[in-house]
Amino acid sequence: MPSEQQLADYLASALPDRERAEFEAELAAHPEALRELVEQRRLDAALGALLDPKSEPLEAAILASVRGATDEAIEARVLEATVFAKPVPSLRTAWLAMLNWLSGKTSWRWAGVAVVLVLLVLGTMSYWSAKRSGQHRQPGLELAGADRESELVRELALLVIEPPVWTGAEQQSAWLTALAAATASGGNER
Amino acid sequence: MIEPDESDASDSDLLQRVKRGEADAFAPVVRRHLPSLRAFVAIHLPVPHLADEIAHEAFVFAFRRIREFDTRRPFRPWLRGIAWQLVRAELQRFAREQVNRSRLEQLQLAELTASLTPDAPPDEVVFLEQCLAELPPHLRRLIEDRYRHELTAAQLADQWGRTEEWVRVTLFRVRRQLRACIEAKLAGARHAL
Repeated sequence: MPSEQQLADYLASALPDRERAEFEAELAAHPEALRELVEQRRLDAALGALLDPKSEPLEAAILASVRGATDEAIEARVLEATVFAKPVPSLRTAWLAMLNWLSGKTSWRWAGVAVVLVLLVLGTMSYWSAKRSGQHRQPGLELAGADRESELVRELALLVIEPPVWTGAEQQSAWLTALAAATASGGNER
Repeated sequence: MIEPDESDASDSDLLQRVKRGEADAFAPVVRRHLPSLRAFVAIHLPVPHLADEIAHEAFVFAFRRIREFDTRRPFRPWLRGIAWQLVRAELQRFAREQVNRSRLEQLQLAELTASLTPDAPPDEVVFLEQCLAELPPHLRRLIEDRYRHELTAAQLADQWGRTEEWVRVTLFRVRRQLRACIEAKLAGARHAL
């Protein structure tokens, strides 16, 4: 059976390595000594925790976590009202976004603009021609003033802010047509 | 021993305020129960950093589930129950990962895991506080010097004019005495039931 001094030294990590290994080997054959060591370690840890003068950092960490729960809720609300809110861009924002998009280096964007301008000119000519002949009908024009403008701006902004991923010439053409139509209609309203 | 809490409000009052959304009302509750909860965890899982982690986790869990707590009941056993579940989970995780541990640690772990029960064990920390208060003054001072003032065996030997061996053995005996005192009180409590 290990002595009281050996047990106390072992607990205090005061045994040299070699003695320590021998002691551990001996300990395995003495369950009552092992039990004593376990109880001593438990008491040592409990006394350390109970009388520890430096519990403030842990206390502060707990309170930070607890307050963090409230902050998380606040953050979620803020994100919901800002980042995850559906964008309602202004006319200026929409045009700036479009200009920003067009400022990219890809040449097809400028090609797209050229197509839009051509379509715009053709559309305008067609409109005046139809108007002169009294046959022009455009459902969008039934809306008037600021309502119609804001609706068009929303459509345009969606097209500009979220340019589609084109997989073929047909889609590209459809998108450009839509963009041209929106632009032309908006122009007509002014 | 434990510093008196500056707040006079009862746990029940404070926790009702927490339930109403006043997170700051939780601070005095933490201050009041942290030392004993840490000691409770440490006595069952004598690994300092794990004891702190579990105490931390237990308080945060309690805060987040505070709506489920009946404020007419005492808070300490509820908190202790939460901590106990976390201790059990941690010990079981330890047991699964014991392959690379020394033989002594394996044996210790076997001792500890064998003592696991689904219900939280009796609150030994209450008895530990009582037993500390009952120690003769010079032994109490030795314990205070070692654990509150964190003096090493060498520093204590110097201060007490003894050898380090004497300090280690005396601390060993005082802890054994405290253990015997706690066991006696636990037996008395069981008998009273």
